Amino acid sequence: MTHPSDALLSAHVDGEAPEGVAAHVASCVQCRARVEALAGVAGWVAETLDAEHEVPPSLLAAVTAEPAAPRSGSGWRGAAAAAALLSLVGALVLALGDGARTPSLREEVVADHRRLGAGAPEVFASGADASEVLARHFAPHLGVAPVVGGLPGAELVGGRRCTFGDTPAALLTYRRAAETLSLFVFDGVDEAEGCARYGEESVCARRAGALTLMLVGPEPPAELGPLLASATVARGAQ
Amino acid sequence: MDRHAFDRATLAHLGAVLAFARRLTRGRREGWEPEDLVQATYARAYDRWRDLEDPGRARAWLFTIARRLHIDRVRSHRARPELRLVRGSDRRAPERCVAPETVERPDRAALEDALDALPGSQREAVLLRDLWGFRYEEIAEMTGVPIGTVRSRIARGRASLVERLGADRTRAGGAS
Repeated sequence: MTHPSDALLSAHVDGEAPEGVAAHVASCVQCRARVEALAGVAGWVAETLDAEHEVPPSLLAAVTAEPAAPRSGSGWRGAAAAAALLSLVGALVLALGDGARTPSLREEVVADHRRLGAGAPEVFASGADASEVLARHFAPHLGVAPVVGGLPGAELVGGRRCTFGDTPAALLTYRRAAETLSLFVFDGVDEAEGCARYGEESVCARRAGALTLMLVGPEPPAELGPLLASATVARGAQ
Repeated sequence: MDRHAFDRATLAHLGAVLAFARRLTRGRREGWEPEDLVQATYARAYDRWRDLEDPGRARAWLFTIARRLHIDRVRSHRARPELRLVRGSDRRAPERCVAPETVERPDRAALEDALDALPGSQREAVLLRDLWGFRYEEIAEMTGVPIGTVRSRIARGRASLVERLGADRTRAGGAS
């Protein structure tokens, strides 16, 4: 059987393929799988990226200005500069008004874990073997290598590369029973090992080679500490 | 000239044109801010409003103008035009692990990286089709190539994404 080319199968995804392609796809398991894969990335692009950005008021004002007004000058810049100045003043007021100390790294990760809350990353990859999931889905994209493997009794459900200030980090999200655990992996921070309780959450830190692991969850330190200690770490990170 | 008719037909697309302009200008060294490009696009569109026969095609028309203005700008700087990925402007830099109010999809960075690895012409075709939903005919007009070339670029771009990301990740909630 002669199968349609990728170009035709891809066009079929968009409803732009010549007659005959649809009939072939309907009767060919192999081509149907290929169409599903191509449609999958197309849908992913549409769902993940932003087709529209929020328009700054200064830009809207600039493009709706009457032709007599300067249209190619710095209309949006002037308004943007004013907005930036206001932001700066606001930040200064906040800075002066907030005499509190800078939160520690532990407090920051706890705060982020709380914000994550019920909005934990969607499950897009899961499996009993966390190391395999990491290797297949996360490792190429985390940017912190070598990466950390599984937590005993917990299922890895999400992960992302991110930063804390200027520090590269990775956030791995696990489900354990009905609870969410956040494992932050830092490269090159100097954080002492040990656990602490912050309100309803605990945070524990552990060093693994150049990496620092910080696990946040509702368990008490006596439970969270051993859990982090038993986390498997990719070879080379220990 | 009917200013209100122009605004009615074009302002609804301002956010999309801004997103497109940010992808066009990101990482380039022409000193061309995306807002500059958007403003120039709307100025050019207003001047040529009578050329647009069908207001229903305003979005594709605005994209075409933005793209051509950008190409002119890039050529004047003796560099090749290329659709770049937005880094930072729409993905706050430095990006917090957890955004203050919303949690970004965890796989967005992987998708951006995979798109970034595509040749510029394929990336442009894929984004025009899959992100902004233009028809092949519109993309062909926009980019000045035959429809067959558009079809081929989209297919090769998508195939590369499947290969790079893994087909199983392209399905919602795909468990491994």
